[in-house]
Amino acid sequence: MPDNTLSKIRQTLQGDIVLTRNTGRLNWRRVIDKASLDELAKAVIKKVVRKTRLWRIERYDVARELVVHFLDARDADVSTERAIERFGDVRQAAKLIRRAKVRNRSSLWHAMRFTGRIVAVLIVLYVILAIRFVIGQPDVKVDYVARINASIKAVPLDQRAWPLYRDAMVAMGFNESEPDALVYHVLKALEGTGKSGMSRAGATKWLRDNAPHLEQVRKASQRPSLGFVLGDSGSMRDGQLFGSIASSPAPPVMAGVIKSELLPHLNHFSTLKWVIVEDARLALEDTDPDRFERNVTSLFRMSEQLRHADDFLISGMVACGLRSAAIAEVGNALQARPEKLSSAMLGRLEKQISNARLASDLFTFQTERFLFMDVIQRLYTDDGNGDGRLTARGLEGLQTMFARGSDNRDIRTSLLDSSIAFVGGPVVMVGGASRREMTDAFNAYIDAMEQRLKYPLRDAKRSAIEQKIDTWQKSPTMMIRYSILVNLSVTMSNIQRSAERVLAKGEGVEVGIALELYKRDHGSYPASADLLVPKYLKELPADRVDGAALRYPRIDGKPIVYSVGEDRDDDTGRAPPNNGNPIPWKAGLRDNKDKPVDGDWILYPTPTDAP
Amino acid sequence: MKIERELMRGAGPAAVLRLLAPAERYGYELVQILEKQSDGVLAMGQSTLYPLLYNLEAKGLIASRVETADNGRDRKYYRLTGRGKRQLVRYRKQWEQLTIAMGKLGVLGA
Repeated sequence: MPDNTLSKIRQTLQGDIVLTRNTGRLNWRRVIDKASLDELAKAVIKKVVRKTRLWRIERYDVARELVVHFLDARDADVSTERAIERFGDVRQAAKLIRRAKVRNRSSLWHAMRFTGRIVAVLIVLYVILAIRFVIGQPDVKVDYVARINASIKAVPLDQRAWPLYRDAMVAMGFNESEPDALVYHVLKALEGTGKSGMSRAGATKWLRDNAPHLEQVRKASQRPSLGFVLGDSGSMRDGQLFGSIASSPAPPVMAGVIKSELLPHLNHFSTLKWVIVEDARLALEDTDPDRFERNVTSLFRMSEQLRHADDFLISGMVACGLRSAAIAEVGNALQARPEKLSSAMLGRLEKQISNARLASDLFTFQTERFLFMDVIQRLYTDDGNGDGRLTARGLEGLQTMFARGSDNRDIRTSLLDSSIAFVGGPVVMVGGASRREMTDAFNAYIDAMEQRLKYPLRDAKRSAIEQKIDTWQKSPTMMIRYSILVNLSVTMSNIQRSAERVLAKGEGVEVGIALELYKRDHGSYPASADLLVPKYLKELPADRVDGAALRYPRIDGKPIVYSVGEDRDDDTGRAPPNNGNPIPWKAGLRDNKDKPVDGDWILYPTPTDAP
Repeated sequence: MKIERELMRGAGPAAVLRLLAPAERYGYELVQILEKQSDGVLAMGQSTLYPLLYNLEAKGLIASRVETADNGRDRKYYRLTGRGKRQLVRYRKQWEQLTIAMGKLGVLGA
């Protein structure tokens, strides 16, 4: 076959090409064809050389040598047939020649071939993993919403508080679709921040006009159970109260982290709390201590209802807020208008404050277990033995869940792009913990957290699993591997601290009540707090920070109760300064960079700015 | 007598290195000498010899050069390298010890 230019170039040494000489010297077929051998010998040589599948220059070399060998044999009067016979098996010869010639290639070539094989194997493995990742399907077996609802629905309808709350909220104008509802203007007006279009007098009138509804709220708080049914056919399907959320598709339990979708009532309880607080204050102004007590009691009871309603941590947080508001109002009233509070009332209020002593009295993690297991069953396959692997479908669902509500469509689209899932999936699947690993780590963590809640924060020791999670937070690979659990741990680690603050404030107000009762009996405050025990206090509360007894000095003749604060430095009752603004009740703890502040934590009464 | 492949695999390299020790040779020449000097015992075809030569070259035991002969043929000549010489010495010792051992075992006959 005549050489065309391209063919000739392919068979030219690179050096020749550089020198612009298109010699076609590497044409091994031409070497054989030009040899003065008979066709049988040429055919054998061509067959061998072709089957070696070597590089062109190597084939040229082999062809040239074999041609010379056959020519030498002919010169020695060896017949072609005999030479061919003595040549040996053509296939075997080609195979052995190839093996030997390849062995003779450069180290760099061998390194590149080895690397290429490794890369090829990795690519094949990666594709297999990607396919496994994409085709894997989570197996959602358990309806955790139904499981949570079982105990809620077991309560008779006439013992559920939610219908009464709901009616009162609707009557007072609470509505998720109307963020500008009147009630919010009322609260802003009563706050006195000047951000409302309503006057204080107008806000006060609103409270009085809604007295019957507030009475209904108080009545609702007497019922033993909240009774808010979760999920698709539950209490959230209330367009009058929850607006657009009522017609949204019901999310799975794992969306409980987005409380507005599964627990839309919590926002309303937060609003209701402030309405009750304002009415309690108004009650004291009206010299209606009975209404004040009923309001405060309703806050305590609402807190209990919420806490036991569904055992979500977020519900517990809102419940804590209600409890904290109740304690604060008692403390404020005791400080500003003690004469309005009878001793009997103070005794009753003290009992409600003191019925929680540990964080475990305020929080439970039962539903968090359900929440986590729901996330797991929606993320992972299930092999029937408690194990499984991450799936593209599961991650897509999770991303949708957290991207929902994002205004950035591009982000949502890219998150859900299946091509990204295919490319990144194997990394996630291999790098992420298996179902069993994640579940085991989570259960160990929750068990440890539940145990910790049974101790005051100062005595609670970090468990092995918590220490492990601490190290994971510093490792990028472990962060990826256990990202769900690490993110969860950040939330949970704050739970005990939040509980401690509420409990400590309660203890401060308890001591305040005891001091007031003592003063009423003896005409003055006691010289030392020990004198309050046992008649006015069962025991002196310990400082939740350092374990010593709470400090009780008198400043300007008035007693204060304080903890040394998280800087553990006794400043004799000096609160951290706040530029003349009211001291927030968390002052004396940590700043916004989570560093202990300089100053004491005043538990009673609400402090003013230090001079 | 046809020698089994496994035995040839061990003997072939040593034989070729020995033949290249005194002088460089080309492929056909090696085939001829192997057959003649071993009385045909170590006769090997091209399909065996050339892969063997390429292997020895890959291991650096022999080196090659191409020379154009008077008749115009580009003949490839092989020679022993320094490493090849040392390997030949090792082969020789091993074969000596092997022969003695086989003799003691009676494998070599009376």
